[in-house]
Amino acid sequence: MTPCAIHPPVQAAVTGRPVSILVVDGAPKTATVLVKLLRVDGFVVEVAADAAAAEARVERGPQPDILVMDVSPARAGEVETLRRIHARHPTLRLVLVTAHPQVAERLALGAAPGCRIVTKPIDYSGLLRLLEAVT
Amino acid sequence: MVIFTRTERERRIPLPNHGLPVRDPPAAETRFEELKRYVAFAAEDAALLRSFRDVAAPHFARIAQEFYDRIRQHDEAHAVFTGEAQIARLQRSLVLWMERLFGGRYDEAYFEDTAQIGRVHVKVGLPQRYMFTAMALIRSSLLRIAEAAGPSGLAVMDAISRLLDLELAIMLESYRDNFVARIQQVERLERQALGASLARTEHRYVNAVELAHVIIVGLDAQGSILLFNQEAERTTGFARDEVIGRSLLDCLAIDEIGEGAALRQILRGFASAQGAASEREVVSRAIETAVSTRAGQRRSVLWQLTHAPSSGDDVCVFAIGRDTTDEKALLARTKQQEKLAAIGTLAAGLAHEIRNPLNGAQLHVTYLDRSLKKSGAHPELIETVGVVADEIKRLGSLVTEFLAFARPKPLLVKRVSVQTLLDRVAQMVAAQAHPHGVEVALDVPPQPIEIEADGAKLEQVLLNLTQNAIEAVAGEAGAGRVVLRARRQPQTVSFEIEDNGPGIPADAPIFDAFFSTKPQGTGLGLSISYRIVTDHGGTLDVDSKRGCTIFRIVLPLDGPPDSANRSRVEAT
Repeated sequence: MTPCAIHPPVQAAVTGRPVSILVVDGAPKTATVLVKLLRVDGFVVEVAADAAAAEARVERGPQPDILVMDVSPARAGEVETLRRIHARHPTLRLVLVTAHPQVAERLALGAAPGCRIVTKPIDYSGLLRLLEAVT
Repeated sequence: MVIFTRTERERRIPLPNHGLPVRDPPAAETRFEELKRYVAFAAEDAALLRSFRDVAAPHFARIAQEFYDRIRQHDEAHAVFTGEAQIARLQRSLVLWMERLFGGRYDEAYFEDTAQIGRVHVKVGLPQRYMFTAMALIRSSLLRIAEAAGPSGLAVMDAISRLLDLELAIMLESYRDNFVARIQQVERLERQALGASLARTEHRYVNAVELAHVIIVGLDAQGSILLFNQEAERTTGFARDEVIGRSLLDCLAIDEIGEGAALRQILRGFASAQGAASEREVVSRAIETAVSTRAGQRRSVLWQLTHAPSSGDDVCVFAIGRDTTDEKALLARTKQQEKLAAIGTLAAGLAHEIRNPLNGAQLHVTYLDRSLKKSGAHPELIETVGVVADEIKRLGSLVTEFLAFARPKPLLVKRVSVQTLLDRVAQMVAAQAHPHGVEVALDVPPQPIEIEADGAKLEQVLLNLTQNAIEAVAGEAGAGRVVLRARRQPQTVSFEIEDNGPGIPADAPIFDAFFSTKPQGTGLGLSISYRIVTDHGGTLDVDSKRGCTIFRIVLPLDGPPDSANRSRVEAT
């Protein structure tokens, strides 16, 4: 009973290809439901369990259009990984999902200027608007 | 010696009173004439002396010689002179003086010459005792010459005595004049010194009292104000001429609240001790009371009363006070901030723990909601899921608002246009006000007002208060009206959000966290607003009655008082 592929794929304005998203979230259940919702809304979605896996996936290519990444100041090295990904792939859009928006804003904006911050709990319709805006 | 015996001629004149001759003094009698009248020196004396001159003159040099020989034998008297040259000169002067004695003319010029000799005596420092004895010596020599002249010499002796009495009296006057002049000089100097001392004392104490940054009030035994220094004027807003003579307690409306009763009791104690007590100071303990300013504001003052009665002054109680209002407010603010910082740390940790499960719940509910809608599920089911979604959303907002309250972002202070700010707020609430027929009006002066503040946070406060006001009037019958007002004062800007709604119950703890009258409210809006305003160094208060509620924000024009607020950074 999957509602996948009901919506037409969301296409990137520039390439005309479906918009691809790499979701990075350590909570598998949450990641799964987010992926389901995004796929229903026409995105091509992959999942990585943490920042390191996300970095490896991006390096391996092909580069996704958007990285939707759960960040927490409690996880060491995450900001540095983000900085490297942004430095090597400046065209990759970054959407950071966090429970600490103020801290995340301060750290992430330093590491990856231009990234967008979404505060948990995610207002899904708000996230959709944001994803459409950044593509 | 015959000097002070009455002569035959004097005895002929009756002396009914005090031994003074009964002759009315002429209206314009000179000092010399007065003296001559006293010693009964008459024209016949003058004639006798003149006629005796030739007899006496051959003896003058000898008498002068004997006179100074006697002085030479007396160390102390000799010490008056500077040396033999002076003595030789004075010896010649003495001869001339004796010739003058027998000159026969005893007029004002004579008087002046004698007075001049007296002044010289004073000038050279001749002690009066030597002048007396010297005069006695000369008198004795001259009288002996007259005595030797036989019976006719008796009258001459009288005349000589009278004349020498006159000489002595005139010369003594010089001593007296000098003495009086010296006394006057001393008095003048003392007066000058006293005047200078008083001026100095006044300068020191007036300035100490007036420039002191403490309230100094002097009271009489009845508690009426007699002294009110500049700091007292500054703190209370009363000019001293408005309060002098009035009761301190009435004037500053010091009632029984707080330690007001203790202050009253101490004043009563001082008053009752007034009569009995010695001039011993009694100092009270420190007492904190509220006082009313001229403008009706209540301020807190820490007093110390001293009972210091003095017989020379009506002020017997000195009330020394320190305005502790700002200090207490700062202390309260600091305590509150410390408390909030502790809560903030806790809240930041909790936020993480709450937001993560909420995130999972919300995404699942979103998925569930969509699935139900697509599968054509019963509307009741869809609604039920919607309720869960709303509650999750509300919980998320609560966490966000609680963090904003307990751990706000540091203020980003910039120059902000008050008019622009209120225009924006009015625009933002228009959509909310319009459907309810609520009129939102601006009342701002045409002159631009600018303030140092965190524009976004101030906007949040104004928006919150305005939205509350709109909600308050929206449910009421009749035309709802909300006025956004701003006024500039010398050091501050005041904002007012006025509505004609039902008012706020007097006992509603509206500024307390989690107090809310709205079904979906978190009860943190006003608490956050209050915190933002106090972080700016401002005040937020409310006046409310049915039909008129005014929330009033007063902010310092030049921004928060301490830069700490601007640089406070949230710790991780």
